[in-house]
Amino acid sequence: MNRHRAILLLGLLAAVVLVLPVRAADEPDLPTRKRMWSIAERLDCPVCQGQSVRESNAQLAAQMREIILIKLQAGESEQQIMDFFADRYGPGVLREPPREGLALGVWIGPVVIVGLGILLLGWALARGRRPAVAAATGDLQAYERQVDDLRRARRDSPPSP
Amino acid sequence: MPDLVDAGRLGLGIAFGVAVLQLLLGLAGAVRRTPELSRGAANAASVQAALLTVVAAGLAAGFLARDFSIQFVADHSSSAMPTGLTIAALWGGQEGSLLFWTWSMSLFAAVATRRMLTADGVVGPHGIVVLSGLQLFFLGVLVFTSSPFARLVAAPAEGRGLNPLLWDSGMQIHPPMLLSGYMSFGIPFAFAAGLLLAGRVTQPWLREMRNWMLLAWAIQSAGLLLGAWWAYRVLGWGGYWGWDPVENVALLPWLVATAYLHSALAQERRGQLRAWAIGLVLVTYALAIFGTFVVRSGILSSVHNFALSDVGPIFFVFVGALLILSAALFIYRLPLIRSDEPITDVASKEAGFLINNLLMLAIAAATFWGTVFPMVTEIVQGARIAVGPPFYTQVNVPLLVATLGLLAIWPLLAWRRTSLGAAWRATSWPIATLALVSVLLAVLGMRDGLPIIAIGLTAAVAVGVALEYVRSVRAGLARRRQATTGPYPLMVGNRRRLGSYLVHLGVAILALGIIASAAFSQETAASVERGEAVSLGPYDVVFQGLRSSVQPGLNTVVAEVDVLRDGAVIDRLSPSRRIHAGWENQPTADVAVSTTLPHLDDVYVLLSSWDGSGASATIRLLVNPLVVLLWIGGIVYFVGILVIAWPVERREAAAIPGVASQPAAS
Repeated sequence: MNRHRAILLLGLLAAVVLVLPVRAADEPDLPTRKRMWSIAERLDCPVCQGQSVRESNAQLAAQMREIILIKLQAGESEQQIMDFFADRYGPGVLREPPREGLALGVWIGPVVIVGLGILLLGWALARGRRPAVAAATGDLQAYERQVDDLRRARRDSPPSP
Repeated sequence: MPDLVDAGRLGLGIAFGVAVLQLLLGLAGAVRRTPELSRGAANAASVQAALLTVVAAGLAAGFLARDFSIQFVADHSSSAMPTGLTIAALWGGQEGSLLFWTWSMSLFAAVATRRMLTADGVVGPHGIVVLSGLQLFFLGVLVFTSSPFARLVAAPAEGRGLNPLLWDSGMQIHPPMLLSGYMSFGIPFAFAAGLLLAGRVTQPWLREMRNWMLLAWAIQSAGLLLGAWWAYRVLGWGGYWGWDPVENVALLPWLVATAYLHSALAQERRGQLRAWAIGLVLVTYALAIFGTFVVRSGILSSVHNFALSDVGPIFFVFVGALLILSAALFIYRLPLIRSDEPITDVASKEAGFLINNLLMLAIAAATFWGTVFPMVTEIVQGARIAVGPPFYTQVNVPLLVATLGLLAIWPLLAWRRTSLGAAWRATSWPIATLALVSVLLAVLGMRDGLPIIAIGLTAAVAVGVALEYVRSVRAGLARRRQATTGPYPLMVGNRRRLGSYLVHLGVAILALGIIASAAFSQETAASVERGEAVSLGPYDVVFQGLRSSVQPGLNTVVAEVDVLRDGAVIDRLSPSRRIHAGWENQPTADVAVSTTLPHLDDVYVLLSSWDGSGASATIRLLVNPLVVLLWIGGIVYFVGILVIAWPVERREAAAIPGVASQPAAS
């Protein structure tokens, strides 16, 4: 039985792997263009609602892509190009909020949330472990109290199917 | 002479009267504990549903008759529009979509009020009060601030037509799905708030609440997926999800509802997390109304600014009141609804639900934070910063990968506690799959760690689901050998559980599509003469010329292109641009997509611009691998939901002697 299972799973794996899209490395002659798209992706198209310069089919976005390409060919760094557009259209064109000043708040928020969540999760699991701890320390009274608590809780809670 | 406008106003007026009556009857029934009064309220809900159906049909008739004396019809349709689209224009603007919302809510409420009374005779009347209150609020907004039956004194000869971006078959299904999704989160909310008002917890009531949430969650899932599909095909930027504020706020209630559906399982099976689950229902609805507020008010810059209106402040006050009242009620009743049954071990199913809740809520909170943060900076600094996709991908992708890891392992663990040995036996295959696939990918030349692990995890989830099904079939075969009479099911196991595994498989397939297309999508754009090709990877797209067609009010320019892979023609596509009269500055793209077999690449071709002679055109070409898995995964997901929700007679298995007890799957 186990061998059948192994064969079945290997077949499944093979199918999954065959489908996987492993691509050859990027064409070597296109690094500048590639960088252009990557920069365009991080800029907001100023005239379209909510689309990036990469995605947008607007005239202005096409011109901005052209400018990025020219600037890249002139040897400007990504940061210089981003700054250029931020100067021109305001900081709102940068799709990635900077990690400084007030905007740092948007980055810190999720870290705080996940941290609090993990603490809460740890607390919830630790709460469930307490009876075992009491039993192990030999504090019989505390243990009995907890058993009573648990029993009462079980009685109050609806029967599980 | 009375006409549609008068009839519509009259119908809405009567419906409002019925809604007031319904609320009064419901209140009296709950306060005086008189079941007849509550039943009267349920009957009023049915009358209201019938009335609103007539009113909605009336507005649809106004659209079909192209009655431009109705302002809403004149603003959102034109005689050039085909019939299906003309009806869909009903939800093409604020007033109509609010009517659709109120109408569909009345249909749900007509059923839900009755189910409330059968689920619990004591709590039911309280649930009816809450639901009636919600209905009255929406009907009030509809009647007093945004009635779709405003009359134009001088009816124009022609309507303004629909925004061309909405001029698509997706318009007939994506908006009503999302509107219904937002709307239907109100039903489980009424169940939760009714329970809190009555101060009584019973299993049938909780089960009924869970079923309504499952329905709302399924509808919202469909709305989100259809939105992705529509964006991919129509917006023409090659993607399906842009972390646009309106997309984000639609995702929020879905995430919290997902968390609820899992903790509700722990509640049902082991009496755990009860108060927590009820709290999640309340939060889900608050988020749904928040989403409506964001969409309607346009306070966030979005691609969805079709339905801006002045009802924003009303919804803002409504969501604030909802939050305060439900929080107060929740805290007041907390001692009554909390369950002290603890979760004891991290290697257990219920701990998995807790981790699921942590991840879903963390993603929801981070997304909420990113969505509202521009407003925060505007208030504090006066300047609005942009929070775009780079933020969401950096923050949410790790959480989503962790979710996949959870999905691969925890569903296979037992309830309560799994010993280390049992846990290893249950999960060794998925873990081995993860290791094998990751190593293979690295050997094959992938270099980014996160996508490698994520793809390995999707394979591990698939293997885990396959194992569960193998087990179930094996148990069915064993039973078939033993049983002498009765039905011989091929699969043995909890139908809801098997359905959930299918949903998980759908999510894994979807995730694989998302990871692959995000990691390996390529794009280029070039101006080409007739006969020249735009090339990308193994694909060449050869421009064969332009043709155009002219209809009244609509010009279409179509580019004919051949798609070649490794030099051989595999498909012919016709990407086009539509220019609608009155919207000349906004030529709308019709993307052409060819999904190649067996590589499962989407060759995505867009006509960017062209020169007047038709000799050359600018073509934008994207190769998006495995995007098709999003739609396949979506289908698997919904098949899973159907399996979960399919109505069957309960416990027919118990009638078969000797096979009532099944080996508990670990």
